[in-house]
Amino acid sequence: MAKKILVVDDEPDVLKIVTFRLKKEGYEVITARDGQEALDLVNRERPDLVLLDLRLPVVDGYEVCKRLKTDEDLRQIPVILLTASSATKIAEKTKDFQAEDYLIKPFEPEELLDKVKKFIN
Amino acid sequence: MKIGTKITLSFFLITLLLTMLAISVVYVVERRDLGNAIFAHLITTSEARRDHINGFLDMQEAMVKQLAESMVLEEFLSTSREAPDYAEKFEIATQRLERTQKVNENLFYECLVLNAEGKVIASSNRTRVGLDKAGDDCFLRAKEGVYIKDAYYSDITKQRSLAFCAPIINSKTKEFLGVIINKISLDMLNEITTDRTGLGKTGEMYLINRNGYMITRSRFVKNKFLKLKVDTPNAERCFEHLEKSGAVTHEHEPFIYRDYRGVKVLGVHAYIPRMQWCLLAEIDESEAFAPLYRLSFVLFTLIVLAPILTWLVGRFAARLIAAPIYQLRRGTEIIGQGNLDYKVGTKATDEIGALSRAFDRMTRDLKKSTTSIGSLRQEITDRKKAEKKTKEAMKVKSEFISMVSHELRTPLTAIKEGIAIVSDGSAGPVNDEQKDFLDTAKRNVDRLSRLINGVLDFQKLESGKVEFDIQENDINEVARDVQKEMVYLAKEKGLDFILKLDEKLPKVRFDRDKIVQVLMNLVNNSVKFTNKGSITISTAREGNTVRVSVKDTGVGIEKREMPRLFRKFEQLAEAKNRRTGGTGLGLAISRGIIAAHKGKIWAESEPGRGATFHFVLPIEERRS
Repeated sequence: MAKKILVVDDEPDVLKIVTFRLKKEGYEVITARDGQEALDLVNRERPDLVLLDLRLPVVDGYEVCKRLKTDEDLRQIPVILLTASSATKIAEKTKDFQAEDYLIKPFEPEELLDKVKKFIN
Repeated sequence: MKIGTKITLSFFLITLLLTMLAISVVYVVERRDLGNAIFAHLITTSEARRDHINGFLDMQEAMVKQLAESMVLEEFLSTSREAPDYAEKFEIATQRLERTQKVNENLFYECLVLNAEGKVIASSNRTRVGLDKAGDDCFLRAKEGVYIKDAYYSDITKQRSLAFCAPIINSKTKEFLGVIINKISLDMLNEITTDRTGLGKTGEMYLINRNGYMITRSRFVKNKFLKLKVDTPNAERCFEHLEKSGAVTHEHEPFIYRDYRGVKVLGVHAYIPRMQWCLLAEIDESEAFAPLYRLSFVLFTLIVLAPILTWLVGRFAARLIAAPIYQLRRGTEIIGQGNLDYKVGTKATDEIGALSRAFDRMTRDLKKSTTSIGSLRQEITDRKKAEKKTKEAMKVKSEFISMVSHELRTPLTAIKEGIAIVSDGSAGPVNDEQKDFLDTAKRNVDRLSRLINGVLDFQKLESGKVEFDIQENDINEVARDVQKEMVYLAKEKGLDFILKLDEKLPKVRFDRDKIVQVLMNLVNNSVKFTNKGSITISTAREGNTVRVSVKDTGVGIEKREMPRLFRKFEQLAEAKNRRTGGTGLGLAISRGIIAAHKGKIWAESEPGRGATFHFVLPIEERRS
């Protein structure tokens, strides 16, 4: 069975491109454009990985991550944070929120695929 | 000269002058008064004595006259020598004389009766009988009337004497019978003249005879009876008066001269015309003016003491007055050198004290204002530094941004071109999926470009580098142009674009391009957030401003979003859901432009019903 990845980003163009890359690689992709939608989808679909942009409307990325990681059931789903912030800052945040890793925009497609391969269940 | 010295000196001189003046006046007046008093006293005394002497002489005259009229004597003298009762008569007469003399011992000490030939035929002193006195003055002169023989030394009696002689006349026949001589001791006169009453220690009174010889006793010189010629100015004057023998005149001024001793005396005279005697009364000048000399001593002491005292008092007063002045002066010096903490701190209560205290207050205020000036200056310096830093920082920032923006733009061009080349098929056939991704790319490149421009714009605005081309423009024209530009966009969404313009608006001074930018931004936002209804641009005059409003019937703005509206990079949550993009700088830039025109921009909204953005431009621009 193909692995399912949830990509969360408010930028439609970003979603388009990332989805394309992942699909090309053979993954199944579902998308969400805000934090609330993301949480719903995680619950419903139980993806094998979540690519999470931090700047999200309604419920922001930090909140989503926190909720995922404090939930018994959802905790084991790996989360990779996507952001345009500086490296040091995001590194701290990753540790704080207990996400698995992070990617800084703009990122190389290889970087993305490597990390996904690494962490996906 | 210091003030202190001036004061002391003034005190001293004033007092000295006053003292000297007072003393002089006192001295002169005292001397005169004293002189007059003594003089008057002497006059009174001498006149009294003179009267006394006259009285005495009168009495003696009366006495001798009375004896001369004695019947006993008359009878005796009428009896001749040869008469049988001569001896009897002689005896009676002699006894009478003896008795009379005894009774009047104090008046005369001897009595002689001379016959018509000048022979002593009877006497109170029997031994005298038989003396020949025919040549005697008394006998010779008494024939005519009572004669007083001036003071003389009687060889017979060995006494200084006066003689009162009276003729004995036959009461019936008026025949000259003889002379009676009463011999009087000069002691009687001496008693009168040597009485020291009222004459003090050095005063004396004495008689001098017509030849100027002293006949009574001198207080100072012994045994000068008829030997001492008193040739003094006083005696002179006395004899002058005697000669005139007219009215009694006295000196008005105390008469001071040297007496028979050579001593300076104050003297008066009284004269006894019948004897041609002068009664001189004198008192030593030293005694007369002794009180004055005592006074002089006191006055002199005063003259010496007063200046010393006034010098001391003056110095004290000077110090009292001058000390605060010196304190004040010293204060000004110290404070003048910059020590603003110094206080004169006077305790004086006079005007100088008040001045000193006022001076201290002034110093305190000066200190306050200098410290506040000082701190103000410091503040200004600090601010200037900060300003400078900020300016520098801003300059650096804007330079950086300009550079970076430029750097950013360059690659964008290449990217854009690269994409375009592939997209339009110039580099080979392109399928739909490929074209889709290329369009995505192109869209985002444009977005990036817009962002960079927006940042640059904003930066220019902030740093004041934008040059506004202010001209008189028609705001309605601008509105119409914007509508023309944007109507298509509105129509795409099914929105009406309405213009409500006040045609009577005056021309306003503004930068056309910039205001167009603002209006475009507002309309753009409105279109972005409105899905149905209309967009309305309206213009109106308000006082001395022109108001432009852009109203939409869109989703509106929440109250909590209002404060963030015009901030840089803020975007409403809604915007993120759209594909319209937007830099988040539009409103911030608009605000900057409006502010530069000295106008105002703000928004009103009813969430869910729509929003209206307003801006006003002043009609009369007051640019500095």
